[in-house]
Amino acid sequence: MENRTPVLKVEDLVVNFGSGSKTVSAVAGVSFEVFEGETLGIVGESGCGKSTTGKALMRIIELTSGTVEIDGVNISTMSKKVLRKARTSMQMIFQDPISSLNPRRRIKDIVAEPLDCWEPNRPDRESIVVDLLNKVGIDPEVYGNRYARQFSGGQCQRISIARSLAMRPKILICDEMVSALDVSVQAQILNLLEDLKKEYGLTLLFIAHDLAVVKNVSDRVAVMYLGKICEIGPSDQLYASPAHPYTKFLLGAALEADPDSDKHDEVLTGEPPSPMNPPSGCRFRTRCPNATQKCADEVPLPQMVGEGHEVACHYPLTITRK
Amino acid sequence: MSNELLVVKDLHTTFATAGGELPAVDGISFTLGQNETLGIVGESGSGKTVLARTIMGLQAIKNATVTGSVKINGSEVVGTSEEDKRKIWGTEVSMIFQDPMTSLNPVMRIGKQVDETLRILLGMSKEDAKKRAIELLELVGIPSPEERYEAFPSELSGGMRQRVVIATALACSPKLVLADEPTTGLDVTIQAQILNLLDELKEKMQMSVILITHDLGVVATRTSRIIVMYAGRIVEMGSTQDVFKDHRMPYTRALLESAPKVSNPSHTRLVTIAGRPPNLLALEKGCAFAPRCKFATDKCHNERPELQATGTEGHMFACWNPLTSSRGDA
Repeated sequence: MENRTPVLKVEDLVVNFGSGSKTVSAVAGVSFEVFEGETLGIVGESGCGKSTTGKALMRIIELTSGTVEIDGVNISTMSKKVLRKARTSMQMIFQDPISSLNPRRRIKDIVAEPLDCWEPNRPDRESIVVDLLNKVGIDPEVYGNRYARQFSGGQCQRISIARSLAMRPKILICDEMVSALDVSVQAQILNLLEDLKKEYGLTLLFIAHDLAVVKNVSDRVAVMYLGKICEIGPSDQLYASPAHPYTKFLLGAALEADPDSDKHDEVLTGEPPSPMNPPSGCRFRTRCPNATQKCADEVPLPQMVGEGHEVACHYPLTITRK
Repeated sequence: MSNELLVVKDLHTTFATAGGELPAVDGISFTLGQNETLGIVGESGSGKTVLARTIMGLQAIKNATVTGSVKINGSEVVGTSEEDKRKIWGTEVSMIFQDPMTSLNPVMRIGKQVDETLRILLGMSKEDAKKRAIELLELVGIPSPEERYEAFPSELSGGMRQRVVIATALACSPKLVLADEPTTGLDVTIQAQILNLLDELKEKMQMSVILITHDLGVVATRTSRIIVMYAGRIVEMGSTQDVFKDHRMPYTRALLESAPKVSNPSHTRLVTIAGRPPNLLALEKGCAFAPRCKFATDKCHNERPELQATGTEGHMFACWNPLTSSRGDA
């Protein structure tokens, strides 16, 4: 893993909204790398900054500080014009499948739009669109001329995926892409994503709040709390043996569809503090049962607790190796 | 069977739409005992919310036709006047809605919204109602309830607002509470808090709860019985154990298997159900699940299966080609 070069490298990413005493610290110094062909999951509760992180990588939201490198190229200081071209190697799929498609355009034109924009007059435009729609399971003959409103949520998400692949991107950022779908449709889309990832050699950043979904698609998972990554590691390892108390509570709260499961004992109390006035030191300390004075005084730095498994906690839980 | 709190018999709710008659609830019968928690699960469009609203008697929209019978503690709801329904709302039955953001009045202090019910339904004086409202806010776990009594909904988080909604619903100690997706839209750690709160209050206040959700994880450990709905009908019902561990309807199995599980290793291939939930305006005359079912035969497409018993008490399913019992007793 060490000698692989990262496709995406994020260093000390900070995003603040507003200014002065009303500054909301949405992302407070996030660093991670994503390697070629890998899926990194980002999981956390609402307000933890996971979507802001995703958007800041695309510079849909401007970063306050920090760097984002794609294939060694720093995009955080690029001019808007250069950035636009650079973005073609990085595509995003959003949560709401219906509103992310233009209601007035036929879906075959929606899928072709990236091509029309960057490589107009391509002779093989039609065949690329037909191929993409077939790949995502939408029959271009029957449905190509229809509008987004004529499709269900799951089908719209398929169309979004087809559009995002038109420019052959390296990186796909999926922000809560299945959270609006029914479970039976969700399973279809997740399987499709896995197939296309292999076929197109994609690197994925998969942002979601659903722990089971994130584990299913990810090789590694980063857990965020109030703008910071509190733990990152290989999915199976992290889920089997979390090192951060917050991860443990989060996993404990995830409900298993099994009547014999018995894990309501340890419920996290309270609610996340306001990102306008985050706690000093460790941001989780106000809800953490193990917190001490040190947690209030010192910001915990990430430390290795296993291979590729890092935790930002002064008192990490003992992990059992898989 | 005299201690049945809720008796639903052959209930139909049909909407007249531009595309034709839409059978949102299509012949549903079940009963619910005292202090029981029943889960109703299904995907979007399966009719679970319309069923809850019909039981509540909220289906007053002009284009809806309701037939059949709903008896709550002996009083009939179907066909009853608004005035008579108001007599049972709050005191016999109440409802917790999905969206805590919109089920509270944004320009009214939360305390007033709780004591409004007390004053109108129980005829309490202003002072008594305020005292009781503060007790209720405390009961549902709102910190410093005296101060929060004066707060507006926008000053509270989603989880806190849902607590206020619960306080309002339980203000007049109803015997039956319908909770429609009470935790959808809330974070997992907050969801766990709210579900635990509902469990506690159910014991404390001796009520029956119907928990309506699309999330099988929510009902798995908190209900004694489960109804699985598909296209407006019950396709399987039984004890929670039976439905999870000994289901006979292929749809129940598919629903259980298609959800990713935290306990499975990453990159586990998900089992999918082909196609998508049916269009209720264009249902086949047979089983509504047949077009997506891998076991479907000609009979499934042509003849509608009725609920039949498995032999285990209370466990029923509607299927021509049921799965064989995992317990090997059928």
